Amino acid sequence: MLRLQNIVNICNMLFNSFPFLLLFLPIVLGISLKLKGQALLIWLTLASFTFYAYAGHSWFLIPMLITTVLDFYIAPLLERTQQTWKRRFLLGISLIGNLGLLFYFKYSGLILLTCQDSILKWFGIQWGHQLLSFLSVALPAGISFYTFQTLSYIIDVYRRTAHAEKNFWKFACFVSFFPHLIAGPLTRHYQLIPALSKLKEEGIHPRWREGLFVFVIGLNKKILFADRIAILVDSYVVDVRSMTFMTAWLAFLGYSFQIYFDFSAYSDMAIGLARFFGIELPQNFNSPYKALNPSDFWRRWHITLSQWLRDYLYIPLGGNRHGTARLLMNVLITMFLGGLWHGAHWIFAIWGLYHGGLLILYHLSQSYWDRTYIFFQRIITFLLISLGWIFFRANNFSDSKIWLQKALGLSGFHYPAMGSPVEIVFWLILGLVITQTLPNASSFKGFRTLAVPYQIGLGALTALAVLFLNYSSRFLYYQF
Amino acid sequence: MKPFFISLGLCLGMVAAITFWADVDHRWHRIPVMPTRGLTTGEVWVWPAINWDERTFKISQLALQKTPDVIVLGNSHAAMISTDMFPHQTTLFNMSISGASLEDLLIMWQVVKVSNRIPKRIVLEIDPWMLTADITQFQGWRKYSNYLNDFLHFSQQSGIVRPIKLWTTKCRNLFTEMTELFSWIEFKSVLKYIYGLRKGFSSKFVGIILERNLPGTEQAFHADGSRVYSTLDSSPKDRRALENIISKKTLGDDLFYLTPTWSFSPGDDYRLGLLLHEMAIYHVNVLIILPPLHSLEYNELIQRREYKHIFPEFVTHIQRLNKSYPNVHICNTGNSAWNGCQDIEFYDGSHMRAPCAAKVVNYCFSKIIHL
Repeated sequence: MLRLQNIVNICNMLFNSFPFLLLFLPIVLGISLKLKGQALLIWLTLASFTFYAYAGHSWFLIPMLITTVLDFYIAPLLERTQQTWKRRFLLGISLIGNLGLLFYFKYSGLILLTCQDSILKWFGIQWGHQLLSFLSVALPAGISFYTFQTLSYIIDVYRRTAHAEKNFWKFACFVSFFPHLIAGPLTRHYQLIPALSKLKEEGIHPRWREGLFVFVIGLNKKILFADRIAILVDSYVVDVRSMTFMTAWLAFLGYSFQIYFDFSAYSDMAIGLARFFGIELPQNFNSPYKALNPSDFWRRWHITLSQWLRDYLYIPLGGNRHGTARLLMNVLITMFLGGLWHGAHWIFAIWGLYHGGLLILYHLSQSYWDRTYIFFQRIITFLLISLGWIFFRANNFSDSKIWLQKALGLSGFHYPAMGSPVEIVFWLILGLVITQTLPNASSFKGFRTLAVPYQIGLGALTALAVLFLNYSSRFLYYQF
Repeated sequence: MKPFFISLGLCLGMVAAITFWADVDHRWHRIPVMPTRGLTTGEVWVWPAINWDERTFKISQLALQKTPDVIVLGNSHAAMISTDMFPHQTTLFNMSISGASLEDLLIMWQVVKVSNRIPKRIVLEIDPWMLTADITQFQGWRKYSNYLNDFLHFSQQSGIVRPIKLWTTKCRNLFTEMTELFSWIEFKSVLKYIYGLRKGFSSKFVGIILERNLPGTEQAFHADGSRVYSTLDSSPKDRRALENIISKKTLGDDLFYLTPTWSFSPGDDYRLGLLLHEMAIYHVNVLIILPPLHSLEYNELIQRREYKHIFPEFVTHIQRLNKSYPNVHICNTGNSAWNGCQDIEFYDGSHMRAPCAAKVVNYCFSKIIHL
């Protein structure tokens, strides 16, 4: 038993781990390069399942398989059926199946806990402990991502803007393709299925130079930046009551860079890995902290989710077609649900609403905002976005309230009493320089255009990152 | 891509070569330093800051001493428990090991058994740090379990303990060993080692000396296995300074290992059960102590959303053992308010100073059981 456990532990892997880099990836890639046709799709799917099982738990495969099988069989029926009520019925089954799983694993605990708290508060009755413990199950990694992917597929088939996929393995590979499985980019069927068809026909044409470059950039971002900043930020956030005005600022500004380097690192690594297989995943970040306004920010941050929310929520709600009041309401609803998508806690909904508020603020003041100096637009946007991260990072409502009060100076202006802020200030300056002055990783053409001294420097940095591989933490978006 | 790979290869190759050459964790070719005789009262064993593991001292000293009345098994949280905290004439040997895993406890128990030093009572200090199903978060500590095998192999070869077949022996695999060649912590130790060689103090204070001659900057062990911290670690700190350490180190670093996926795994259950079962066979009374935490860390552990399930789940599982094994008593001191430990009686978030350790011993033995 121990031996088995040990082997499992060795294979417990994410992109930033030795088992993934030295065992999983070379084996999967090596065999994939030799395969073609259906065998290649089967191999990639099975490899993705293996990755998923070892990146989290093997039972994570069950909800993913249910989603895959359900949508694979419903889509052709939807395509063939002409009667509207039947088509709606089939769509309903798929939505209930997909969203039901997501709701059970992600939101049931939250809803029950909220009901429980409310009933206890209003009527003084305690109930539902057993039900709550029944619903307290681990959240399968990446469920929010692959559920949204299959939803967009099935909705597009329903809208007749996409054809149902006939090849099960191709569809399974679309859902589970390991580079984007855990934390995106949220890839649409029209972005991946045609690429998989090409892969099936022609085999893999790896794009080593472009892939390795982006992957290495992501690895360095995660290990050398996100993980280092995380330690400093955690030390402030752990006790928000002892924060001062200054440490409150250092903490949320630090977290801004931590979450950016962490999440964009995952996207970069995913895009890089996919390029090894000759597949181009959609861009997920475009220097978001260079945004000039909140609207611009959402065109640059988690681009694939923003686009999904726009296409499948905001526009169906009416978008901007029914007057200003309706537009504002649609923005708030979209951002509220977008916030909740991130995590099963009302604080994420508050974060979403905060961003909804920013978008409305921008919409109402656009004529003034856009006339301001670009430098100020960028600074104000960055500060407002960073302030919002307080809701994202705080452990609970009361912590976020205290943190926000301290950051806004409502509890006075004090110099940090705890430790020296030199280290975090160093990282903040570095983060600011990198995010404001360097081009986005996707704008590079890979190693081909990188001068030799930079390549040597990147090699040395990557060596340093490798030394920290054993101590690297999970990606923040792993939990979503 | 050539310059990139050359640079990457050269850097990693250099690190691996130096790490292998220094071998500070005795993974590849070094042999650990060992005390050659039993210590007497007033003497301490000063260990080299690097290139050595406290298991060496604990196991060899146990073999060189008479069977004690009480043996302490645990991790560094129990390191300060010493003879003077127990009633007069009670003999004690503290076999706790820094960063001990459950496997450490099992192997140390085997060592106690085969050395024929089975005491009347064992104090088993256990905390959630020792148990986790999510080993990925423990990769920094994983080297310990590998090293343990090296050490056990060595101690058996040296005749300190009779060769035994251990059911706890972990599989040593080339892959893990190889990744340790590219480890920052390992390499940092190597740099310290090289610096030590140049300065000539890496072996200056290794060996047995009188405690009164102990330089304040050194750490050491008493004859009963309890630990003497260096003045660097043990200098008095006010609450603010302590909270700073806890926030930066413990909560930002140590608790990081206790992730939301922490759980009391069936494997841990099985191993702990086996350990207690064996102790029952040998008629050893066991007192399981759940050690106290600094109030700040305790509050963090029971309130923060990603950690708050850990302590109740852990306590529930441990308390279940009470019913299964009549020779086992449980003393939960997790909340330091229960045993009266003050915040300043901690070195950091979880390591108690001697006064706190004395309070814990007094609390457990007066409230729970009597010697």
